[in-house]
Amino acid sequence: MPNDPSLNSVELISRIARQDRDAFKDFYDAFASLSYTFALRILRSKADAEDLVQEVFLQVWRQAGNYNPKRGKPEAWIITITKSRAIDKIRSQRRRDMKAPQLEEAFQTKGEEMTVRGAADSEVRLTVEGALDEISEVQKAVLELAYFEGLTQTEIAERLKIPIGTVKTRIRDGLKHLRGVLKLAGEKNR
Amino acid sequence: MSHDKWFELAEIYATGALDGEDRSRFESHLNTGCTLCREHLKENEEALTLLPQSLSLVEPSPLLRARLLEKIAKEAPLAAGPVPGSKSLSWMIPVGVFAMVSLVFVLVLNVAKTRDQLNAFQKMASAPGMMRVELKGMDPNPNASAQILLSMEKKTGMMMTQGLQPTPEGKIYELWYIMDNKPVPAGTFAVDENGFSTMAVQIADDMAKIQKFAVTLEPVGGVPQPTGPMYLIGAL
Repeated sequence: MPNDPSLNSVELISRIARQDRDAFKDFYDAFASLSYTFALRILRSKADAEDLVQEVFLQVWRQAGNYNPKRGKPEAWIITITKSRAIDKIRSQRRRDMKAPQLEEAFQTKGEEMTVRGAADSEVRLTVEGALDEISEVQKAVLELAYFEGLTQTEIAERLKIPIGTVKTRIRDGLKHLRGVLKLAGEKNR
Repeated sequence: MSHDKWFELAEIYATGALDGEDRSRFESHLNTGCTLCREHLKENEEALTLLPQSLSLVEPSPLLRARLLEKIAKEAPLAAGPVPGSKSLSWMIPVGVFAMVSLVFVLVLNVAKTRDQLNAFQKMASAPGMMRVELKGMDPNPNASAQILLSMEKKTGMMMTQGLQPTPEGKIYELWYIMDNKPVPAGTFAVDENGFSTMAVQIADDMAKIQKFAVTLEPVGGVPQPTGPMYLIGAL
């Protein structure tokens, strides 16, 4: 794993675009857990999440040349690719009316499978986690249904039995808070 | 509509929850090139990445890493794209997959090399066992065209485009093959100032089931299902 993923990973992507396999290994080591954790949260199946991470990193290998650092950090790129593929898969599964296992089950991992990452990663995560705790439960629920479950505003309104206007308001309020957290995290990193 | 209203839609759009007419209206507005909305959307998309980053990290199986490295080792020469930050929009072309024609393609950086690519493409077209698909320009860009050459045996090949509009900021062309009436993503590409590009094509499915190829304009990074206008289409 590179010493400072946020700084080195852009360079790693440039090298991957030139088919540098060592760079690919470093990039994978830096971001596979993020992609896998996110995929697992959405898909709720370890096997599906691993398949998806494989697709994500094959896309990285094949399309690293399309990455533009001006449009977002590498972690945001990985998150976008993971989300796009995972939401597509979960919507397709939903259409097939397959019942997913409970979230708690999916996250019941053996001790050796759960690894706490480097100090810098943990610090960022704790900062974000703490700040997210301040978002009201109702805002968080709506944001998570949209972002992790792939539900539309109409589906969320139906699921929670609330007016669509309330869904929109909660999403906007939750996002306003998230933008504040992001700004805070940016200032801390300076 | 005031920008406050567009921003409201941008925020719902960022979460993926915007649907129905709201979604169509907002996407049409984005396609007008509104930089304010694009920036606001980007800011919100970035803020949302905090959600997955706040999860306690779980490591995937080490076998996954080994499997992935094995896969890329096998396809190493297949699909290099332009180097980020490079002004060149040309592509590294597959080496080895067309052993039958013994062609080696390299990253092209100027017009002369583009001409070489064109020549190589033409040579490949005359090799045995190659199937050719012609793609014609659609309404947004009726003068554009493309050709895809595919090895039936290896299910790999190459696409060459010409006359496509230069890729707008935040957008990329995406190739699809259509089988069972459903589009399957087959890679993204940008074009140079002349609308020229080449890209490696690899088919993961049974070639006999492919009905058509199409190219749409999509957000950078590509999408799993087409969302943008169709620029090229061609049937087998």
